[in-house]
Amino acid sequence: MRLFLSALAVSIIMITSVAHAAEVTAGDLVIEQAWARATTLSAKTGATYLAVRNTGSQPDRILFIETPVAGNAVAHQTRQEGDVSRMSETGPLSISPGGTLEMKPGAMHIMLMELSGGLKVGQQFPLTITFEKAGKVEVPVKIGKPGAMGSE
Amino acid sequence: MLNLRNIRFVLWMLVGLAVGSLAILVWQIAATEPQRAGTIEPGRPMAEGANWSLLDEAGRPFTPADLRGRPTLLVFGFTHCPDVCPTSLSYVANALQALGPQAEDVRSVFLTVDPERDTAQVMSEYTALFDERILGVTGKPEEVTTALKSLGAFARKAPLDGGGYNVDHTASMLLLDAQGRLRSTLDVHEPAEVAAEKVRRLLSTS
Repeated sequence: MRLFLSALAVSIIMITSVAHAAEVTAGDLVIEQAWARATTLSAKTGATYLAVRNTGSQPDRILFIETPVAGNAVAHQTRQEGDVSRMSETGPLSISPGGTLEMKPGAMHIMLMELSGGLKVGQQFPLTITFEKAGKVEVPVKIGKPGAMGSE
Repeated sequence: MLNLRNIRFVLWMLVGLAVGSLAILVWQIAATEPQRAGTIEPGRPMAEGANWSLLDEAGRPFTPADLRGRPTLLVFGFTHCPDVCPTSLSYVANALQALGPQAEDVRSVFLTVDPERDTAQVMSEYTALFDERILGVTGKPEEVTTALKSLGAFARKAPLDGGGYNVDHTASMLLLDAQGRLRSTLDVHEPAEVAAEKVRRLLSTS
């Protein structure tokens, strides 16, 4: 029953989110183009991409990433070594003053683990990022096609 | 006289040193280079003499004989891979789209490097996300290992800090001719039309 209720809560959150993923501001940081790829219903993993622009004069750092759709969300980096592709955790990500942290397919992404119910194209889900200085910010993530290469 | 002999000695020493350092360099490169599909030599037979038996997403046997008869587009990956694999599969889907009706003349195979988690059912759902014409192939772990080896693909489990694991694997997509011989590779950094053109060229010569 509790599982059902949390699944229902997640569905409601996903459905009621506003239809377009606008940019979100937190202190000196602007988070934009947050999107994810649709998965199968039974998928346990997914990827989310976004960009964080630092308009201030101080560096900032991502401390945690959370979302109700996944048990775990961690920034990962895909590396291509020769012909082999590997993936590893990035560790703490910092955004330098005037700099932009950009995630994109084949490079940096937020890996969602322990998804419950997969990600459906056209829907949205909230992603909460805690920055060292700018604090906690909730970003709506738009779900694109399974093989989408960018937002839209 | 003595001088000349000295010079010759020094020269031979230099030659020896050069050969030695070259050998070390080659050895180091060979050691650091993962056993990649660097065995990608045009014409390399992938089906001939190979002995493995896998299962496709519908539970039907898939053996080296299934790499013959028409060209094959072969992709290695796994369904828990959220970044690279969807990119590769959507690239294949776009290439099939670009091929139009000719897409029916090529077989597209997504071979898992993670047979423990990728059951036929999981593979079937996953490939359908991209294009129904992409055939998911899995099997017993030891058979998959044999098949990957014989196809020149690299795969190695890499544990994740938060639990679970990822599989490092060959990212190149292979294009085999109707005799199951390696003809070319596809690269997601090229437009899908380039991949379609490679397939068309193969279709016109086979």
